[in-house]
Amino acid sequence: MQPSFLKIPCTRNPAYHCQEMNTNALHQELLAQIARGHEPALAKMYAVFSSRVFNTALGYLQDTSEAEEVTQDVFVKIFQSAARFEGKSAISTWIYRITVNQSLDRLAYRNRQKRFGHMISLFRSESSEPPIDIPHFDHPGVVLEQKEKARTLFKAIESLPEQQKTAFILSFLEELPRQKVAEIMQVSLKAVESLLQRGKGNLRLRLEDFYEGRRF
Amino acid sequence: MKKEQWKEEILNSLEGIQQAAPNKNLYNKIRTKVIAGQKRVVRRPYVALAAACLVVLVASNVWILAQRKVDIPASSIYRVDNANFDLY
Repeated sequence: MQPSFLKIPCTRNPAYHCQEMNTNALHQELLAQIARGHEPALAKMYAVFSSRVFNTALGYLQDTSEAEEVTQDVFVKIFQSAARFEGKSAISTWIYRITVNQSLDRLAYRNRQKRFGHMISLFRSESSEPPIDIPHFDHPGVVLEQKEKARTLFKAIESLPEQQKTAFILSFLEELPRQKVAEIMQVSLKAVESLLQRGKGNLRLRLEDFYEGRRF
Repeated sequence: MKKEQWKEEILNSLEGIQQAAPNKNLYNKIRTKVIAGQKRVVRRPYVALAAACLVVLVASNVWILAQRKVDIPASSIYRVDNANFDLY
């Protein structure tokens, strides 16, 4: 039986032969074609993985345009490094790993910009430019009645340490099995469970602050 | 109690979340980037050739300098020393 994470969102690409492409062997064939510089194979790979890549990046960055930029970077990287893929893991694992790394790099860049902006504002007498800050984020996939609650949760997720954030996003936003999350993060299953437990604990603490500060 | 319930509701708010899809035109941007990258790769052999020429040039210069050092006959140094002795 095929794991749920390999199911392709067929409804988004009706012309695509979803059933045929649902195996890692076929993904490998696509990757081999990409390694030979065959651009249409990249288009097929994009049809299979774009939503997962975009959704994961969106979880980290909480900004649609930045998540799209990361999606671009991920697929360009897939094209450039397809020949170097050693086949030690499933292709979906490899793609998720690239996505996580690109998203974390992007977050680090954003934080550097934030710090730089803050430093500049210290030297300026008139604080004309406000520091870069992400406004409320509404995930497009959240049902309407949950939007406000999910917004609060995303705000809390932002404050989690990197590893806890990755475990949380892959487990609860991407709904991947724990074993798959462990493979992507290159840690043990126990470590993932521990990260999730600590992550939830930190989220509760953060939510406590929000609860105290919210207006009724 | 109310607080705990609220926190639980927040933590469970991602249940039933749908996957978000990127902009439909995003692949065109990726394609453009990939094709531009391929063009850049085509120019690489010329870069490699230029680098190889530079290495050959530097290596040949080093070799010539090394040869010149070896070619200096010992007798010429001896002759200079002798010439100095002649002054006294």
